[in-house]
Amino acid sequence: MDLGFLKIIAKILGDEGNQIEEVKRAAAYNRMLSSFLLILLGAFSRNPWYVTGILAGLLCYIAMQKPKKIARILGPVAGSVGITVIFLLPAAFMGSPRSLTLVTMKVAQTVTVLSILRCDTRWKEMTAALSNLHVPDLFILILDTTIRFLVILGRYAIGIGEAVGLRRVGRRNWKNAGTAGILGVTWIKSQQMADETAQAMMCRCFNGNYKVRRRHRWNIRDTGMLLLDALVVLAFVCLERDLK
Amino acid sequence: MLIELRNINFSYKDSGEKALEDVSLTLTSGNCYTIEGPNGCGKSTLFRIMMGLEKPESGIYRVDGEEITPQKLKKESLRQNFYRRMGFLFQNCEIQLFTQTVEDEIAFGLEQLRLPESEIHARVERYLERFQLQNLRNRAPFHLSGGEKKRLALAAVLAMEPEAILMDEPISGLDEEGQRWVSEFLLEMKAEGRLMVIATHNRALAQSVADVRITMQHGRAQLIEKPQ
Repeated sequence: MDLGFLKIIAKILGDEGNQIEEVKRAAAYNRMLSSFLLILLGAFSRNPWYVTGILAGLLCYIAMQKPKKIARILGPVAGSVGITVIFLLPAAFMGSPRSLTLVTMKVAQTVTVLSILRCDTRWKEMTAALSNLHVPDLFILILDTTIRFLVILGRYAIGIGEAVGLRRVGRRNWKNAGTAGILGVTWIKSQQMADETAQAMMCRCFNGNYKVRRRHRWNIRDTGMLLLDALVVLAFVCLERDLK
Repeated sequence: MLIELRNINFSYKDSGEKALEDVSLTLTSGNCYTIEGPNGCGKSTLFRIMMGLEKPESGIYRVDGEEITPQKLKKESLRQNFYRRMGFLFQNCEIQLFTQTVEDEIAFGLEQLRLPESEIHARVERYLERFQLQNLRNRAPFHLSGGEKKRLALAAVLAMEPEAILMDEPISGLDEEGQRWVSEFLLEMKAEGRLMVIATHNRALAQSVADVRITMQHGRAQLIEKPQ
């Protein structure tokens, strides 16, 4: 059984807290909105100059980071760009080289934006930011709990997978035989965890009332980010209009 | 506070195996009780019945003369009142911690009690300090070490200032330092005069904190003794 997927989730959500530097940034909801805007406009854009410009801006931002962080951001970008080029390579030979460059740049832009967001924002900041976007707090609690369960179960499944791997001797194909067992045990464990958490909440008088406590105060970085967003929208509108 | 269990019997629904057999106990405020016994002897089941999470097959469970059952606890006013007075530390702390930050975790129960914001703030600060969690206040409980999680779970329960606290294996899974911290804390808490019920395998802990030791074997509360 390939547990790579669970390992990736555990890595993104479980260990990220130790790797994000404590520096003052714009509010998480502002960063999320800006990322969403960049991805959306990038997807709609037909002008390579717009995409190139955004990509150049992102690369400038990345260049100002520490080497370790640059590697963390660019790792997924390199992989996705490589795969995109392979898939679109036939287009270059069949008379549409523009598609190859434009789509590849769009993919690079999207993955870079997400990669930066992941490296700059903790998961808990992202979910807390939803509160500022007026998503109900109870929804955030459920989302958070679900994700946390996913990570705990991921670790659990990886542990079982490793145990199965260590016992994989002789000719029996444990790889296949173990899959059902691991999934079954993980499923039962998930039910137990859900029950216990519900009971723990009940024992602390849970009555459906949950409040995300910390809200971000607007600061100069948020204003700067908002101005940048406006600039990006303006560039998009101007460049797309020129194309017509 | 007076907790009474009269002729409690309980069997697991799936296996039909008997977990508790004719258990009768009377627990009173100001005493610390330890429940000792091997794995599977029914300690956790007894706690679940005392917290109203399971209904006994037969027998009566009363708190201050009022019978408690899961059905009765469906009524919100009774449930709020009951869980405000009874705190429960689960064996697996990881499951008990579900909010985004350490601070939120302590505040969670207090918000459910609809305490004023100033009171919530004051209690959060008090318990952060008491459990030496000030530096971790903005950390996600998920990222804490085992000992820190245990401290946080205790802080979250105690911040609600319950009259009785039930602790299922409070020192299990802790290193030596963590075990010493919890043991010392239990002694401190005992001095406050709360009703405490602790399930443990650790004889040394039981001897140091218990006013009354209860030994369980095969679902029966076999021996009740007062330590020397």
